[in-house]
Amino acid sequence: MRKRGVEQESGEFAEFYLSSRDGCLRAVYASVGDRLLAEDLVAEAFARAWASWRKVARHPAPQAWVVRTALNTHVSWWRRRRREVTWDGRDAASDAASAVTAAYEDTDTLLDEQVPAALRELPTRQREVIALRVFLDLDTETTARTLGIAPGTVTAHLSRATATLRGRLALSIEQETPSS
Amino acid sequence: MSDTGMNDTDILELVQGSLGGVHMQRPIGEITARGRGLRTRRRSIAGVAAVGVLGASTALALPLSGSSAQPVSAHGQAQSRSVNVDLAAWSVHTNADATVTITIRELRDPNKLRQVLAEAGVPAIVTVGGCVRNGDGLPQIGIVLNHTVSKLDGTIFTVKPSAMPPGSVLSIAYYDTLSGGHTMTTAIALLAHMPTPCS
Repeated sequence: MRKRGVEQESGEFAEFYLSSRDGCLRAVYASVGDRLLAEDLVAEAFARAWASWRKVARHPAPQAWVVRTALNTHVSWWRRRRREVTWDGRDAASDAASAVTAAYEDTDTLLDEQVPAALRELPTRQREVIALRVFLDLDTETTARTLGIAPGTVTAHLSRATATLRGRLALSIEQETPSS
Repeated sequence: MSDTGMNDTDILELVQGSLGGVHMQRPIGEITARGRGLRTRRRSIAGVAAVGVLGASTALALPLSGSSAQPVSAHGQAQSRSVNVDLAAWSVHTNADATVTITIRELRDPNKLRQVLAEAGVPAIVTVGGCVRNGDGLPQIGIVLNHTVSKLDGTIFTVKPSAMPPGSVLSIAYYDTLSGGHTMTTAIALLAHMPTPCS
């Protein structure tokens, strides 16, 4: 009976991992700005989810739990590095991501660099809202609970982020669209 | 900047689509192995433990018993492999970042612990209430040893094998303290070389 319970949990987690991993990675990547760092963070978060699966499985939004854990891990790793990395007052998370992952930069990626670059320029909280609302497709309420902010604040962040992205991407869109 | 006529939904769909080629490559086995290691650290086992990290000048002065002192290689640094061992008395797990997390719950099987640590790339001498004359205690202990926790379910510490100087040995000694209660003390030191036993 116990073994069947363990097998069932393993199966549930495997299904969760396979169905959620890409969305979680994209959400974290959108937030931290670096692909390989995001993958490390998400892997660690999923491992913690498995370590606490009985609790995480009952969470109203397990994907959000994973993304939040990944982002918290990023903060934790950045704080550990802060002793070695000089900081000139810019956004600390972006700085740490760039400093830690400069050697990891994947120049052979086929990704469109314009959008990730535009996302990296957003303030941290706006990036996180975009990550959860867009890449995890969470509703406003769940996003608010995950980030520990009010739903109205989520809406405001999303609105400002969208406006900024529209302005930032407009020029790129025009350049890629042949004039009629 | 000019207006492309895109509404908010269009912009967000563009953003979402831009990362459509991003996929998580880590195999699930790697994820669950790491999760098992994390879960093991939280396993609750009866007993009380305390950690004492010895400084640069160290000396253990306890009766010799149950010690194991075979280095992995004459040159000090062992060939390592990923290790995941969970016994009632202790656990050794290699983490994704190549550090090794050791949990000690009971005073048992020091020789086997030494062997498992050697396999994990941590040359060590493990003593239970033993007595050795130390080699020089090294200041790199602070880099080699991190994340040390003493809890009811055991003493947990993480070792960074790559930070151990060539030829160095991690000395792990655990014994009951003479405080009148059932308290296990784990004393850890980084030695420059294999210590000589007491005569």
